[in-house]
Amino acid sequence: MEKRTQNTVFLGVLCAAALLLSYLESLFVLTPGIPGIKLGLANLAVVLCLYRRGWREALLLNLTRVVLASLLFSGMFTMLYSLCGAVFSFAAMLLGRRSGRLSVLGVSILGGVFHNLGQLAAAVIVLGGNWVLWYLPWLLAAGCVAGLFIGVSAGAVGKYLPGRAEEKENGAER
Amino acid sequence: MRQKGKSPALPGLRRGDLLLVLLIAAAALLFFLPGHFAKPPVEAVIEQDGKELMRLSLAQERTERINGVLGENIVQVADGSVSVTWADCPDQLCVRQGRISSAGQSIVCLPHRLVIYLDDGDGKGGLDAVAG
Repeated sequence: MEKRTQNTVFLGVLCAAALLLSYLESLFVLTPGIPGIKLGLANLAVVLCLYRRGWREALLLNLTRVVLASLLFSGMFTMLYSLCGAVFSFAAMLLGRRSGRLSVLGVSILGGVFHNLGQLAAAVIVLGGNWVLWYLPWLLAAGCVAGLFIGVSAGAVGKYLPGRAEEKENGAER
Repeated sequence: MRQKGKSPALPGLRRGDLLLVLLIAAAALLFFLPGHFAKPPVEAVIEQDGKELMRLSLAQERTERINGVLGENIVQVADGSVSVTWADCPDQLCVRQGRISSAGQSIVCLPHRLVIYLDDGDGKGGLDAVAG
């Protein structure tokens, strides 16, 4: 029972952190003329959760923060894109982590790149796809840079987060 | 690259990470390069909901008001390039995307489900002709 409470509190704190990061990000616009290019700071919380708790908790956190952030900051219409990006990104990060060949940097790069691919896929479904190829290289590069940034941050922040002991060692070293 | 990857700037970097980045860079290049060999564009194609609304010749300067179900955009053709100069959408991303002037390039307005892309006159976008 205590374990459950601990889990709930941890997820709640991470979710609040993710929402705060989403809000911060919505305040300043990075977009250099290409929609969808951003750091994805909120993914920091998801990466940390994936490493500290496990995939179920991280998936729950991811879906919760996307729905809440869409309702709070961007509106229903972007929720479809955000959800699609989040699901793609999460699946890629999970597989990347399971593969055992990537550090947290690689896992979060996968997350960034697949987030963009997921959003692009959603846009193709809504808009048709004549224009997509021009965007792809930019979105791939942007996802890569953003993912690297989040990975470095996760490595730095992760040291100060409580977590399962065995996870802590893996998480810090990998 | 050292085997266990203890570089101080990126602690814990592993060989798999580098491979992944190389793979992504290669994919990006693969999609990027064809754009440079595309022919100059001749027409701007305006699509809404995946359906073609109109084609505007780039040779002729003009301004079009697009009245969609979801909102309005003003599209301007000038100097062989296209831009959205005004939109009533909340995010204004289409306006901020600026002017586009090479084939296959596009401006997307997600809230209005509007796509404007430049066509090289083969009936397809410049990139499709090479990659597709």
